[in-house]
Amino acid sequence: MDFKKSINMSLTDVYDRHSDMLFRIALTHTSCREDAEDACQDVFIKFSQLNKSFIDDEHIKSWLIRTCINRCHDISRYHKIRNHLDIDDIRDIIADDDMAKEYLSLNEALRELPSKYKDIIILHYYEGYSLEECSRLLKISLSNSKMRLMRAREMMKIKIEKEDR
Amino acid sequence: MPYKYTDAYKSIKAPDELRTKILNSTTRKKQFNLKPLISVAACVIILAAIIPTYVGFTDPDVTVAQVAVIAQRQAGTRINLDLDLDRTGVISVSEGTLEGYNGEKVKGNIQLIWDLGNADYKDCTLTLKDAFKTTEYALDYNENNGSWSIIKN
Repeated sequence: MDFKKSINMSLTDVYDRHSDMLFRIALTHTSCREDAEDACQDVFIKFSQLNKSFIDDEHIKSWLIRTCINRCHDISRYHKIRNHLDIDDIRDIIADDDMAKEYLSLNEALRELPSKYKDIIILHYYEGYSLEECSRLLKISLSNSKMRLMRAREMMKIKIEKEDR
Repeated sequence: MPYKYTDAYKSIKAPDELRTKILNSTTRKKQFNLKPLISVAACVIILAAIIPTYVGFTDPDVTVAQVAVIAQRQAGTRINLDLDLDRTGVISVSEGTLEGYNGEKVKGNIQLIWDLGNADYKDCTLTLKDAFKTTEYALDYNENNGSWSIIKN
């Protein structure tokens, strides 16, 4: 008989380990602090009610990221008007004002990208996942990941060039 | 451009109040989750209903309040059955017919006329079939005192 190893972590442990990462993903995706908090809350509530075995912490992390991204997609579909973050929204959750300004620039650059392109940019460039890992997290093929990354960069390049004029 | 601002991105922290909000809301949800309790209660009730019947704690299945010959014809004997069934079941006879009964499920007190036809009473059995078991009763006649009875086989 084959026994699956399973990890048993409390919700508090999981929250303390992964909340910052999830919140960053949600905030960068939604560009709205309230939506990001709601998305995180929904993800952790769903996790607490889940009847599923996880093999290790990476398995939990993958589930959290995938669920968070899906939730952010739902929120984006619901909110037709794209949000703008300003420095007051993030002053208490970021190191200092210089970092805050840099983050706002990043957020502005990604704000108008379609959700599926935001996903790949956030996961690959900012969370540091390889394209293979991104394709597993997003449940898409590797070629699809590469294509999305390429198109996302093209769109961001066009946006930057427009702003520079 | 995407390579820039990684430090700024990584310096974002989840707000402190979010932790309190999430851990309180999940605790509240657990306190009011009655579904497992309801499932267990339902199982206990079902088992309590089945187990006594299954191990035969209620006995007998059928009590015969009265068996009396209501008519004797040249062709055969008609018997008045006054039955008390403590479980829902279907009654059938090996010989003859049950007047006033169409084979439907019955429970409680029921009065039927068993027309033996040309059959010898010694060959006659009455069967009660319910959800858990089938019980047979033989028709018996005491020649000493002329009384009729139903005896469980």
